Amino acid sequence: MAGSSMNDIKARIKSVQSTMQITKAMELVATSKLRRAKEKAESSRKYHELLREAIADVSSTNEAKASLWSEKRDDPKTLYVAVAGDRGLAGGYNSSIFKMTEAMAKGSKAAVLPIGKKAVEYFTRRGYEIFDASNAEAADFGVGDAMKLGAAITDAFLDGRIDRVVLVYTRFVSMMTQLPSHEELLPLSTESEKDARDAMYDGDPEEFFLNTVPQFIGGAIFSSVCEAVASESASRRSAMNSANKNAGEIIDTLMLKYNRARQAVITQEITEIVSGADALG
Amino acid sequence: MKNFSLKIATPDGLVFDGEVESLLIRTTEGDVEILAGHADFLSALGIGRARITANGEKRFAAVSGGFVSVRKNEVNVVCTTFEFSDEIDINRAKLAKERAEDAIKSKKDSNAEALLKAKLSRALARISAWELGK
Repeated sequence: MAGSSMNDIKARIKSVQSTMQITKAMELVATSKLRRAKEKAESSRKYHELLREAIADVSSTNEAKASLWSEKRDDPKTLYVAVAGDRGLAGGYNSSIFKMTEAMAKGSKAAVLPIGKKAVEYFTRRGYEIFDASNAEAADFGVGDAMKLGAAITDAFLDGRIDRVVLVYTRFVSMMTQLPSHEELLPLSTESEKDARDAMYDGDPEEFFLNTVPQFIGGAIFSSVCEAVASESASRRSAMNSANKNAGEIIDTLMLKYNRARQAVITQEITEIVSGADALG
Repeated sequence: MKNFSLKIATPDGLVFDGEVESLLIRTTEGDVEILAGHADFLSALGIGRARITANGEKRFAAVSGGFVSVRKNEVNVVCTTFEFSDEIDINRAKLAKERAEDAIKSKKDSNAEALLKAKLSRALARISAWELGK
């Protein structure tokens, strides 16, 4: 019957409208979070760059080349520091980090240090060896947390529990573009764009590395978490934006269907009345 | 006096970027003063005070962690915290100092003691930077 299909369509329009309300609210929340996260990511980026530059400088000197920090070990066990989000509904944000990590970890010895609730859940479920599962809140991740991880990772590297450290995170390029990327933190890269120089060490070079490498790793993790949090908001915003557009389109087509159904009911009623009048006359 | 360019970065961003005459900073080996034309140099930082002189004006700060590098008259300080004396919350630092001292007195655990001592020296660095900056 046309009347009941009209009711069906009306119910569907209502449900799509209420979904749209939610996605609209989520878009607004993501937009306001994004602004703050973007500022934080940009200010921590400078720190990361200076750290990387200095470490590249130090690593390119001869002392570093000989040191155990830059030595590539055989059949290495790699620790992947995977930074993802606390929540879903952000397009491919979480899954592209998981895919990238798994593709690299395939066929070699690996452990994972997940940061963010989604990452902790995913890698635990997949049966990976988890280095530390206590960082389930990417949004509240602070400098202190990062420095603690830096120290723990450095200890594990020196003990030989891990031989390589790779950071996997989403780089915040712009509001529209976020790139899943990875960076090898340990062993220290000895290749520097500039010529190798002998920097003047004050004291024992090993002592310098022992002091600085945990901070370098902690700093790299902190800055990548800042970038990842900004990327998450940006990709949630665009996911919600396209969800809104979709919902609008669905409502439009349903409206068209509804009007057609209504027209059909009216036409049928007129036909019935006319034919009834004909039969009487 | 000749100037050199100094950049100070912490995880919260660039806290200083400009031309200065001198930088006095506490490394793991002791205090080091850097002037323009210093040879290439690299050292890890301890917990302590720093003093920046620019246009004849001295500014004091509390620093912890990280390192200082000098390259071709460019100086970078990359550290975990860097607070100028006017940004230091003196009451909080004094409270932290008392708490750390009490905890060191009452506890015998050697692991916790290293942490507490680091806390105490951070608090002391803040207090002395604040007093010098007054």
